[in-house]
Amino acid sequence: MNIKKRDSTAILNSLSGGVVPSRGLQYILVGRSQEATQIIKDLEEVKKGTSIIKFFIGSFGSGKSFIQALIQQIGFKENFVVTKADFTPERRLYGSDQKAVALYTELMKNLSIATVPEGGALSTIFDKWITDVQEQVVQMRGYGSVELDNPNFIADVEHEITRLVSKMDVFTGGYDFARILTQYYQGFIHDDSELQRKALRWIRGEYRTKTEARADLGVRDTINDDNYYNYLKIMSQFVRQIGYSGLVVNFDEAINLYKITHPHTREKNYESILKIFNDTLQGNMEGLYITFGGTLEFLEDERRGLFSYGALKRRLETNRFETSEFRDLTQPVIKLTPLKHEETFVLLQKLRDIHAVHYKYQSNVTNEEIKRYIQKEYARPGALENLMVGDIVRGFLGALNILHQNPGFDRTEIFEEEAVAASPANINSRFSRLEG
Amino acid sequence: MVISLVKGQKIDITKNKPETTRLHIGMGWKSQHHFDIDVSAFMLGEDEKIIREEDFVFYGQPYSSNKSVQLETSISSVEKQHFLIDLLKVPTVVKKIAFTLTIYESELNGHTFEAVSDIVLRIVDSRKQEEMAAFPIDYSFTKESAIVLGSLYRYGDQWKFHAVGAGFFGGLADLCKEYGVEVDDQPTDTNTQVETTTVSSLPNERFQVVQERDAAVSGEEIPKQPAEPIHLKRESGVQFDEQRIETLSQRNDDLISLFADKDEDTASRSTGDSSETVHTLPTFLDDSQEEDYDSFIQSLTDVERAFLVKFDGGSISLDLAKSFLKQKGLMVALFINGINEKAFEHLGDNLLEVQANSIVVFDEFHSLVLSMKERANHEH
Repeated sequence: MNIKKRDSTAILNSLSGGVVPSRGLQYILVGRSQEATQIIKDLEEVKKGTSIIKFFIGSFGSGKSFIQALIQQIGFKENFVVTKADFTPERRLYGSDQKAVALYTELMKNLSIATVPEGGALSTIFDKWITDVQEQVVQMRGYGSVELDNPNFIADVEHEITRLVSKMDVFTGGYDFARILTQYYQGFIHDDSELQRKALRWIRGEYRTKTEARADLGVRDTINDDNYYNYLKIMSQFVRQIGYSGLVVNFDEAINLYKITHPHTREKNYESILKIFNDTLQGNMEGLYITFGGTLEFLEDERRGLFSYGALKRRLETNRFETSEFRDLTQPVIKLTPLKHEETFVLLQKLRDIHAVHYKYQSNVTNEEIKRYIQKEYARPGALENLMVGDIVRGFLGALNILHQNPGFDRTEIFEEEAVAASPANINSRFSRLEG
Repeated sequence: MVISLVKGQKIDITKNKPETTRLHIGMGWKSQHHFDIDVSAFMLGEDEKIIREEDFVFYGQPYSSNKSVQLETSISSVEKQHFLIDLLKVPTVVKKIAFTLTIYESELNGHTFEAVSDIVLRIVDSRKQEEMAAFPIDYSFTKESAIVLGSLYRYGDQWKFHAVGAGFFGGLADLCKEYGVEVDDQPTDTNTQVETTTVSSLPNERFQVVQERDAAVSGEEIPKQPAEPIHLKRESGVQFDEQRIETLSQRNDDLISLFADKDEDTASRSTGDSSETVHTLPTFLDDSQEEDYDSFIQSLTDVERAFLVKFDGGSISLDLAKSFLKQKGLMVALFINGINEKAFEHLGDNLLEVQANSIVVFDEFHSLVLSMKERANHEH
């Protein structure tokens, strides 16, 4: 096995901590290869200009977040801008008191690209774009180089910015967006980082009042609960225009929408999902890949889940003929079937190998021992219902750590069932004296 | 067109449809409480009894002996569970396959089908993906805890379906008894019975009466050893299907190489070898890696190269970097991003990371930066 140190580090650290690693997922992707291939295909389509929406549905620990992390990893490789947000009681698709714009703000904060994978890529994206525009102006207008102290050059660049952004004017809010970008550019020219910060704040939806925004940046509007979705669309167009393949948005913990107690608010949130759904499938948007991760009740509960909303139920009902033999992964809902023991086994096998390569030793844990380990884990009362793969993995990595650091450790304690191993030998030893 | 069946109706399944050989029989229901409802299939012989106990398909035994009938949990939202039936593979001695619903530990919990509604059985031609018939139960049950929904049966050389829809008291164990499946819920005392009969048939005055030869011939056959009774308890031991393990492992290897192919970095390409405990430790600076390094270095601008040469021990202080780049009129974040983009393209990963007070080279590329430094010194 060949694996990069950075991948193995991420895998071992994250899994020991019980979270999904942010990279190197292909090494531990077992039993989800159909889904992975589908994601690759989907992203290819999005690159060409379509938009796709997906719901990943599965119980706790079935790997929803894992799939979304995988989407992010593939997205980076395919030159996408990727962002994510978890729904919380304070972050929703629809709401008053800044609960909806809070979701948008989170998305803008988490904006990532391959070279800035941990979020906060907004300024990098803008800077890169400005440099590109400047270079274009240099070539188009025949300037010798980037002339930041030449007012004509700056005027030309500003003109070009407005021209490019006005292409996005079909969207409401396109004008203000162009204005903000110009302000950001001004900040760049005059070394005014304060102005740049304000522009970024505005883009992230952090201005609460129009007066404040007008005073600081000279725009008429702010991004708020009602219009944030338009700006999300603008953003997806913008990143495509400046050369990225598109925008990937991962929403997780959708159970928090299901948990909204007020029926009207809940329905409004589902209405927003319907709007996004229709927009993506009717071709109103280009280059957007949106995913939702949620549990089965979020989707199928007829009283509070998405299925309580008739229009969504019709659209999201799974293909009646789908069986685990014949999957249909092109439909919007992908159900993550729980991993079986064989998958767990192969996963632990992979982890043993990764652990060995990472710490540079020859592992002596045999396949049989791994099988016994799984059997032992499942022999615990209630394991079948409550034990998640993540837990088994954590325990197993712990065991590998112990064995690696303490070669003298009694491995039967980990891999054997209690009180079975030693007894036959003891019985024989009792008679050994007689033989002699 | 989907035929909607009513109780007692019988329909042709394969008549005039020679291409219908694989059936998907799905069952759905709604329950107010989260009842534990199980579906089972009994493959019965001429006498309405099961022929082999391996041909009783239920949660504890999800496929029949030759895998002609398989039980799966549905991923569709229309039904809960389904059977896949390969009609051609069903043994000829099997005349009928009965499909049933039961509530797990119904007696213990007092659960009955009274609280279950919208029970439906669907017959789908699995190959054509076409629904043939549906049997919705539009009447309600009261105290029943088992339902025989319907059965597929042979009629001449064809298969037909009979919509039964009848409820029964008792649980899966009782159904099993009805169909002749031995379960270990009831303690079986066949062994003791056999013993007592043998004892009573033995003559009292031993060695005096000689048995007639023909009596021995007409004597009863030695009873078959009772088959291992089937466990209805849900304590499945963990079993591994070696073949699946093999395919899964293979698929993962394929995926890794797919990723490696997408990635232009040849160094990370998987060898596709995952056998046992043999590992190749990563070798540094093999040929392909060296090529990648060269193409990366060539893609750099003079400023970028000069910047990387300034690194000392894999890092450079942020102040130093800023003052260096300012002379050239460059922004730090954008400059680093540019280098990382090139690294991503040629090496498959980012090269630099901006930390609080410094910019550092990721561990695995230390050697690259070192060799750049050496080269630069050499040129001087």
